[in-house]
Order: sequence, then structure tokens, then C-alpha cells
Amino acid sequence: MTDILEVTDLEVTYQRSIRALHGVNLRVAKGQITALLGANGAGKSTTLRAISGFIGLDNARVTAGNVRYLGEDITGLQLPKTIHKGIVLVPERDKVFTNLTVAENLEVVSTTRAEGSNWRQIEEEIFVCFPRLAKLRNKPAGLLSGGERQMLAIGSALVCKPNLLLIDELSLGLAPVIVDEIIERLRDIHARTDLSILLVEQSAAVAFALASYGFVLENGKVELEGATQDLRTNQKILELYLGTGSAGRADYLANARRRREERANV
Amino acid sequence: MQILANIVVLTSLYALVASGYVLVYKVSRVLNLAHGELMILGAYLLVATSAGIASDPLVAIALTAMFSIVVGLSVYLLLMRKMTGQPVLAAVLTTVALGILLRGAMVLIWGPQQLNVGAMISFDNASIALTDSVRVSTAALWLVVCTFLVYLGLLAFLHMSRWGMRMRASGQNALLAAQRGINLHTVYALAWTLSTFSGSLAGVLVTLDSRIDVNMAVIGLKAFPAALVGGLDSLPGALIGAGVIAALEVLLIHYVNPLLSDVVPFLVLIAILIVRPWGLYGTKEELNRV
Repeated sequence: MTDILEVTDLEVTYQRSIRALHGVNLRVAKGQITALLGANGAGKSTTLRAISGFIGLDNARVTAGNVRYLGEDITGLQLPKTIHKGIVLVPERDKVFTNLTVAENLEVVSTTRAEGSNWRQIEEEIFVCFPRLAKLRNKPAGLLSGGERQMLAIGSALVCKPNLLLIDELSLGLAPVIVDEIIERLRDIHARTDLSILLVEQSAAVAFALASYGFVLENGKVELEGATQDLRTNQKILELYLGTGSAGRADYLANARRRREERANV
Repeated sequence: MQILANIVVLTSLYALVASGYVLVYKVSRVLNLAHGELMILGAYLLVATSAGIASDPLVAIALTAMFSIVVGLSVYLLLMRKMTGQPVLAAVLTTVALGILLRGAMVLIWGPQQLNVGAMISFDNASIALTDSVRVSTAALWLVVCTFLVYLGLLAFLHMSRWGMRMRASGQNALLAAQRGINLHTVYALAWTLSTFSGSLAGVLVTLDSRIDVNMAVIGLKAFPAALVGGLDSLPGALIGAGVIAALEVLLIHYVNPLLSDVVPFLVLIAILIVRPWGLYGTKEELNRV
């Protein structure tokens, strides 16, 4: 299987001094969904931003390593060139234009002239993917719920005609029932197209539900990788990202009690 | 009734100038403090065109409009483009410098004396009787008509055309706009061009109604409170803000003291900054202004 994206020893520095990534290595197989797991501040978002291209406002720079996309070196390529290559990001926060309606949010996306005149059809395709959006088409995006915003954000990213879709925090802050619906929709889209997806998640459950391969990022480095069925049973993952259920909590309480007793004995 | 006509004319002038502030601020969050100078530059361009190229008033005005588009585009490409992604304060200070430079250049080229542009392009600024007791000048009538058309055109453009929507989108979230493949430079260049065009139009029309000298750039400064009262990022707001300022100014001049005319807009500005700093129709969270 060929890789659509290959990231080697990637280092990113913010404001010329703050190093956020310390040599990240990861690959995304063509047509597959790959997950990037990690806690807050592990460098997941920075990795996605580095792949999709910074703009001047970010004050960030790739200082070492490289990013290869379809065999071509695209390290440090800036927006909007990465979009023209087919790499599109769904950002974590501020993912829709709140002052524009749902339909306008889809329409502002940069398209070629031919696609622009074919606009109705593109809009319909997105509404087929996310039927819920069709009913909201004239509503300002600022009034949408978190789940609807996520759908709109993915929809407007799809208008860019991506080969590689980067999704930053698919499930963060959303109700479980909405997350299930979005997962279902993404599976549909993935099944119908040859889209490759790199998914950043804090929830291992969501990542395992969608992805076939996963990387675990910690302190700006990939600590662990593997097929998701292997990761699912990995003890370290269980501890770090899934919690170990009631048994684990009992352990924690026991540990806390033991520590308190030890302190009392001293 | 004459007072009402005066209010409408002054509202049109302030609204037309304010639309330039609003366009650039709405799209790039930069306050263009050189707008007054750019406006007068438009009027001087008409002087240059009528003296050198065309003597027919309509041809001269059309050419001036084209030149003003070139001016707006050059301001962005040569100066403000470098400021994209820099702190907003740097960009605002750049416009201050640009204003001072333009003012100096205009004095050097066209001299400090007043010029009668209307006479130069043989524009007949006859007074027109709307009713028995209400009279306005031809240029003032043109001003009202042009302001109406410019606002109609701008609102239609911003809400119905794809590039207009992109301008609104970029103003709301520039980073997301870039991530959706929108070329920010095109959007900003468009905003500066449209802003300079409407400003120059205002400059031309106001100088046809009186005479022109560099100090008329102060009209730009007086129209700024109009933009801010309405909310710096709202076009309908600018129209209403212009109405408020113009009405107060005309009424106070008429009933209290003509010397108040230069003070009124800024009194209103201070009042609104205390009570409602984001303006009547502005976006509330946008308070990190410079």
C-alpha cells in the first residue's frame, strides 16, 4: 500500500524560540483513515497545521524534517498552495464563518471557475452527505450547535475537493449522540470516495471507531504506533487514553489511601 | 424644509466617506487614517485629468474614477500588502504616515491655494429648486444619488457575489479564510480599491460643490465618527451614524452657533465611545481597536 503522506523527523518552532514538535514521524496510507492520538499540548494540532501550511499570522516555521505528499516534498509549503494540492484542514476552533449563512459558508470556499458555475450541484452533494445541513441552509452559522458546526466545517472542507483531509479534534465538546452521527457520515463519505483522512483525537474510542492505523503523540514526539486493533489492546493506551474502568478507579483510590497512610507513618 | 435637505446632503457626504473606512476595517481590521487624504487626492486627480487629458466633464470624471481604482490598488500592493499578518497597530501607523506623505505631495504638486475644479471642467453647478422653498446645488444632488447607488451596489456585492461573501468571511476569520483557499491578498486589494474609489467619488463631488484645497482632508476625519457611531464594521450602521452626525451638526449650526460645526462629530464620537464603544450596529467583541 502506498502512502499519500509521509512526515519525517518534523520539528516546528513558534516565534523563533518555542519548539512545539521534536521530530514527529508518521505516515498516512492512501485511502485509509489514520488517527493521531495524544493529550492536550502533545503537538497534534501543530502537526496538522504544519502539514496544511502556516500563514504569516501564525509566526511558526518548520525548522527540521520534511513532509512528503504523493512522493513530492512539500515541507514549508504555505496556504493556499497546499489546498491546490488537495490537502485540506478542518480546524479545531473557529471552524465556520459565524456571520455567514450555512449556504454562504459552503459558497465562499475557493473553487475553480468551472466548479463555480456548477455551484448548485456541489452544494447538493454536501447536503447529501449531511442532510441535517440542508434544513439549515439559510441560518447564520453562528447560531448552529457544535455538532452542526462540525458537519458544516467538514462539508466546506469537502468543497475544496481534498485528497487528504486533516481533521483536528472531531469529537471534542460534542454530545455522544452527535459524535456517533458524524462518525457514521464520515464512514459513508470515506466508503464512497478514495479520500485519505488524518484524524486528530483525544478520545481513543472515537479514533478506534474510525481509523485503521494510529499514532500516539506525546511531548512533540510519536511514542507509539500500530494498527488500531493492536492499539486497542495495548496496556499503555488503555491506561493513558481509555481509562481502565471501575477497576482502575479502585486502584487509584487504593493508591491514594496507601500514600496517605505512608505519609501519616513518617 | 431647507434644513432637512441640508441634513440629507450632509448625511450623504459623511456616509459616502464613511463607507471607505468601513470597507477596509470590516475586511482587514485596519483603520485607514489616510482616507481623508485619499479622498482629496481623488479630487486633485480630477484637476489633473481635466487640465491634461479631457475637458468634457463626464469623461474627466470617468477617467478620475479609473485613476482612483489604480491609486487604491497601488496603496495596497506597494504599502499595505507588507503589513498583512503584522500587528494591526503597525498597519494603522503606516496609514498615518501615508496620509501625511500624500498631504505633502499634494501641496507640492498642486500648490496650497484654493482651486475651483467646477470651473476647470466647466461643470455648471446650478442651484435646483426642489420645491418653492427648498434649493440644492447640482453637485449636492449628484452626491445624494451617488451615495445611494454606492451603498446599494456595495450591499448587493457583499451579500450576493462570491467575492463579496469572501470579503465578509475574511473579515470574520482571516485564518479560516486562508484555510478554505481564499486568497487574502485578493480580498484585501479589493477592499482597498473599493474604499479608495468611493472616497475619491466623495472627494470629487464635494469639491465640485465648493473649491478644493488640501485642508479639505479634514472631511475624512469628520466622517470617521459617522463610521464609528454606526459600528466600524457595518455599512448600514455607517449610513445611520452619518445621519445622526449630520442631523446634529446641521441643527446645532442653525439653532445654536455655526462655530460648532467642526466640534459636533467629535462630541458624538466621545459620547458613543463612553456609552457603546462598539457602535450602534457593530460587532460587540471587536474591541481590540487601535
